[in-house]
Amino acid sequence: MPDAPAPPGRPPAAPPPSAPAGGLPGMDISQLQNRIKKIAARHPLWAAGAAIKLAGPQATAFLPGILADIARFEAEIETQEREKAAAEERKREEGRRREAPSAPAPSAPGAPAPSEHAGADSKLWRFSKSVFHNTYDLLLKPLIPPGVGDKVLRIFLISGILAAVYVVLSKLGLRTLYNIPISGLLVVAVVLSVYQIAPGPITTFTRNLLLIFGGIGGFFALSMIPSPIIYVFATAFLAAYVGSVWLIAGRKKGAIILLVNLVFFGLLFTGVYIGMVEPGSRLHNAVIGQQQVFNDIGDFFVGFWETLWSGGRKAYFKLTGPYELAVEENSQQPLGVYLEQVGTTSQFVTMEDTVNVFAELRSRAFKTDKELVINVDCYEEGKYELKDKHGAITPRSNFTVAEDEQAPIDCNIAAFNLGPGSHTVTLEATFDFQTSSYLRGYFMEQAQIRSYKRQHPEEGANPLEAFGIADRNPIAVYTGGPLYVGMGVGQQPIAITNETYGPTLTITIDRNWPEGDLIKVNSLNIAVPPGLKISKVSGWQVDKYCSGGGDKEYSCVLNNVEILKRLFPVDETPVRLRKNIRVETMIADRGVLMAKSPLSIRSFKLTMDYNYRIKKSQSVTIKEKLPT
Amino acid sequence: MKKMVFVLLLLVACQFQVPTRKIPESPVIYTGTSALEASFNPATMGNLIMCQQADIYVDVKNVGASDINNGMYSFITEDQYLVPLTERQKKFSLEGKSQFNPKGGFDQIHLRVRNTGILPQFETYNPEIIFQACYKYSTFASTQVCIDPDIANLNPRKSCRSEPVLLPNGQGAPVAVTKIEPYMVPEGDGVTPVFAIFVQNLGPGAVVAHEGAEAACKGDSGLALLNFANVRASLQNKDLKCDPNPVKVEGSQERRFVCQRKDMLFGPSAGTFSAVLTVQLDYGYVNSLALPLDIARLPGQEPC
Repeated sequence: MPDAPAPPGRPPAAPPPSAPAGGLPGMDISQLQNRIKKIAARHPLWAAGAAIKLAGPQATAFLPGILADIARFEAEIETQEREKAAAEERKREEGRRREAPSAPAPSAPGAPAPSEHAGADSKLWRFSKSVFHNTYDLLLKPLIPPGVGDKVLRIFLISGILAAVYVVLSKLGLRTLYNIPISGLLVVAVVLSVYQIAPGPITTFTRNLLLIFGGIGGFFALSMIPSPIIYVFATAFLAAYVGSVWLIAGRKKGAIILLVNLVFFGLLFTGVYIGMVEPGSRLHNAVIGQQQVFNDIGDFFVGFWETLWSGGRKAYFKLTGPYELAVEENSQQPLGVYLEQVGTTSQFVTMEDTVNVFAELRSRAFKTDKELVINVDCYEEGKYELKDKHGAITPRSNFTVAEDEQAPIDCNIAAFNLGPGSHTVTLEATFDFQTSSYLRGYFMEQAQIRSYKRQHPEEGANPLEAFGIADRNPIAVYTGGPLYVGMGVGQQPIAITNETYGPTLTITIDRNWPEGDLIKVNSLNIAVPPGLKISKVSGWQVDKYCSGGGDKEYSCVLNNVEILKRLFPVDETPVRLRKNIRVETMIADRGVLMAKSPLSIRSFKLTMDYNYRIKKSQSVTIKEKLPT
Repeated sequence: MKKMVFVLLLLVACQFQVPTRKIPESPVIYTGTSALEASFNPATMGNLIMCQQADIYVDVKNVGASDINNGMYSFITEDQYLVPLTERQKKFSLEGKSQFNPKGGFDQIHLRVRNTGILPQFETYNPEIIFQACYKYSTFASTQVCIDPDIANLNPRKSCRSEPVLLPNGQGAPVAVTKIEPYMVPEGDGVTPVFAIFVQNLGPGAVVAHEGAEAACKGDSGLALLNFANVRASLQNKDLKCDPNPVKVEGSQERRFVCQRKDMLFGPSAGTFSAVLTVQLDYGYVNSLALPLDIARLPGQEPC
């Protein structure tokens, strides 16, 4: 990019300004043109712009600015010429000093005569130099104007930088398709900022460009050091960078830089960067490493949030909701099926190879009599329907487990079936499980409750106090596992009136684990205390599924497809949680219910059999060929 | 030096206390606010293994001044988990404190239950057993009150003054007469004494109607829900008419009723004198007590 003075005899980059159409009163146009012409050699773009402005109808308006620029550029040129002349003078002086010792000087008395050998060297040097100078002066000087060497050198330098940047980015793994424009843009930006073409806008733009991408560039540079701490540090660097720019450059620039960096940082979690880099390269590892770290951090916070949210929600429901919950003493222990230590044998495989994802399938403390069946499957995420995207599970895909058991499983998918590029392989285990729950209910005659409340008008007075019962607001207790099953019957004690309708039990099914899905409910066994009868479940008559009564519990086993379909619609797979089921009851035998006591303690019980699915995913990259 | 002598004297005085023969105190019968005191005996099995039977023992003591006759006790259990093997409800009687039985009657009530199992998957279950005793009881209060026909206070040397009488320590029954306010109501030349009597349930249980005591343990409504005490009062062995009667004794609120006799008229000639006012309250009373149990499943234990 020309910045140095244009060689004499060479036409200026911009055409000389023509006389303004409207004329400039009180101005010597030819003098102005000559002055602009002189400047055009150094600042051709400016000269072109000035010419256009002077030729336009608003020339008079632009004139003061142009004159000011001319004065500035002339002063600049004068200074440069002075410096150049001084430099040439210094060079000549130096040349004279170098030549002085070899020249025959008047011998001082007693001074040693110059040696013959040194004199021969000097002669040879002088001869060579004079030949070069004469050749240059006679042949090359008319052809190559002064200053061209400088330009050639600069071009070589820029080309060298471009090549170096390209090689470095290429070595780091950036694909050629993206490398050429990125390297080019980078070098152009550097050149633009170093060799000032025109004052003002371009330089500012270039500087801002570097300011914007400096953070994300540093982020990727740091991310190439394979360490989770460095990955986190790279993010911290990016944040610090953006923050610093915000503080130094101001809110406007800071906001733009923040936005751009957010976008580029956000692309990290898409497939964009993965597609831009060669698999197995440093940049690929950096992107994968960053993704992994953020996935881990995300998982941690998701888990934390789930725990917080779940706990908060349970607390909320305990205070306000239609049901209340407690956890069975041992249900805090892990109970269920887990996929642990999930990994891949190789994150990068070739097309001829096999993708292997492995895990430990673990079952813990079912506390049920029957054995549970676990089905394991693996497939490419989002392509469950395609058969060739499923892998083979070894040693087998079906497991029958009882109590605490552990089995290693492997999923093998032919890389060819997945195709080149990045893929997420999902390993899933579907298992049948059982969760039980009970809710203690205190039944009292409504007249007795009213009598007590009359006697104790204070707020919160509870007739159960009179019986010395400490737990006056019993909550549903459920066994651990993927789901929690809550129950509620409203305010306790439950008032028994002269009517035949009994309390309505609300069953709430919700997620106990942050991950996984409820695939299917196989049966729902609801038992109400002796003396009560279930009339409807979520509005459906269920008499034909129920048995018991008299002085025994009345229980309904809802395992029929018809009724389950109504409670859990088939189109809701996985079942949408949280799910409420309303169980309407009626009083079948008041005497049995109250057992000839002023207070009767009875429990509602529920056992639910269902299929639950858990998933774990791993990323693999399939390369068309091994990187050389 | 003086100080040292003083300290020595003090020590000597402490060491050589003149031994005195302790005179046994007469038993305090008509004091306190308890009737039946019930507690689970430590021998009660609070922890039992699934399918096992457990023995529940309740110690009952009548520390009040009245006898309990034909009272009824009842155990409330969660039948879905605990089946009673012995009688759950039974009548009982217990002598109150007296000169001859200063500590009151004592008995131990026994209930045997068997666990019928707990829900599958659960390791433990914590039911509650509630013991309830329902019985008739009476409060006897007697105090001296001043009958003062000189309402204008013309006689400065009166033997007594008509002032409220406070009875803060109870009368050996859960429902206590806490205060008596005598009023001398002018009637012609003389006065008719009117007594405002304050009662309160200071015991740990609940008051039910005297006739509904048994029903309270059987879960019958009706009388068991009425928290009334029947009142009888007399002055100089003459019955007074009280209103309201029966009086409602709800919760631990203080209640007032008024007793008087229209034909009981004291003229100035009778002078100011002290007389004994007796008050009797008859009511039903219910004590309740809860025992938390812990039923545990043994590892691998089969259902019952």
